[in-house]
Amino acid sequence: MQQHLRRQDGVAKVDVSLVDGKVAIYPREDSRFDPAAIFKAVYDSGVSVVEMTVLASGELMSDPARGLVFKIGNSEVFGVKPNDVSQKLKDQIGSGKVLKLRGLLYRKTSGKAGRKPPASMPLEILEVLN
Amino acid sequence: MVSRRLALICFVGLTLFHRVPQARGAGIEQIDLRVEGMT
Repeated sequence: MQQHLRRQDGVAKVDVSLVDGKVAIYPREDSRFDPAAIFKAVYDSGVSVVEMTVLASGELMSDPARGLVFKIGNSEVFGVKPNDVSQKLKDQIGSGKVLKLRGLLYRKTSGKAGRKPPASMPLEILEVLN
Repeated sequence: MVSRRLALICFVGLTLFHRVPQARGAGIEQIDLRVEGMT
């Protein structure tokens, strides 16, 4: 799996912990992150994703079509799933301040995880680190 | 004539290499997965 993930576009390094069933992926700078592609690549390597979290820095913005979004780069925008943490960050929306946060993109709910990633993977902010 | 050529070069250069500046420090540092079925 480590080899398979490392071959994905934009992946710099992959750490796998067999004991915990945890995988850490470090993207290259200036690369685009596609959660659906990671999800599929993991499945193709013979295992399935139970949970996917991301550590990222970016800006909270309000999008007329999508509502609250977290803009990481020029083209990477994640819709934000409202929760208590996002409610507390209302003052930061559109302020231009770069927030470093840990967010949840996917958590398996029930049954067997499928090959296909969910249609949408909104970011649920778990904690703000700055 | 020279200024028109210079203007054209500038236009093409700016069109090709213009990028919207990214917020300083923005980016993904790490993606953590919990997986099942790993042996």
